[in-house]
Amino acid sequence: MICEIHICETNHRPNMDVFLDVLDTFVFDRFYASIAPDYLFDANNSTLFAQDPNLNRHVKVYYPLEPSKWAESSIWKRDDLLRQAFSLFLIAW
Amino acid sequence: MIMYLVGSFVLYHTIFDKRLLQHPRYLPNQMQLEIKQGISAIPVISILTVPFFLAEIRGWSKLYDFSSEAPFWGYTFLQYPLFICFTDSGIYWIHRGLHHPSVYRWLHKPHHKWAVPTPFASYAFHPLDGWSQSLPYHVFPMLFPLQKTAYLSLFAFVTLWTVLIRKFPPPGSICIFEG
Repeated sequence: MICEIHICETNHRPNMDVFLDVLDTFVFDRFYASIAPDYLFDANNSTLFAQDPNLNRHVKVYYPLEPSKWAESSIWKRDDLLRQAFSLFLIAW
Repeated sequence: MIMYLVGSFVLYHTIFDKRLLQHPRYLPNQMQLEIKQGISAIPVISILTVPFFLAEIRGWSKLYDFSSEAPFWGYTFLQYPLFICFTDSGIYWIHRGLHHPSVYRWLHKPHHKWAVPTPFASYAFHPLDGWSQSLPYHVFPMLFPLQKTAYLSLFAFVTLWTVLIRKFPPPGSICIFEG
């Protein structure tokens, strides 16, 4: 006899803002910098520019994670709506 | 996707009772069919869920970081039962809607095809079906304040709960055989 109760699995990960800061730092910044580089913010010269203090602001209230040198070296910036949508789609997969 | 495949694989080889594979209502090649349906549903569910994630990271939700930001003192405790009540009754009504004759056949029947489900049936939905049942979880933090750490632990709780009630149905629950 099979007893079925229907509460279904859902495909979601909570706290996306914190999670995306972490994944941007370790994966996506480098990924977007390699497919769509911004030559004004070349990662190897990035010490010339002060980094935006808003980077990683969601995770920083929990843990002082510094953005990598790739954080601003793509023309597709972190706060771009389409970039965020695409990253989130990849995460949800 | 990886979590679905790995998670189902682990559950299949641990708590799943393999005698069910001999059950007369178990369809031939059912597990392959479930995995195929799950894999084709997940990308669509992902696209449909992106707007909620976007709203969350762009600060349009009422999620907050620390209990000092709660609307009032007791809310830190109140948010847990409130979340469970809201999402559970939300899913109840959505599921009831899915069984309405006008949509059941094309929208929800694909999921109930699995009369003897394996763990791989957990995402084997019509994409709109799977997405609609996740709606209450995404809508709650748009309407009500919710602490992010509470969201995380509630997420872990409902996932575990879902697996447990399927594996160990509460006594007195109705046993359903779908036609």
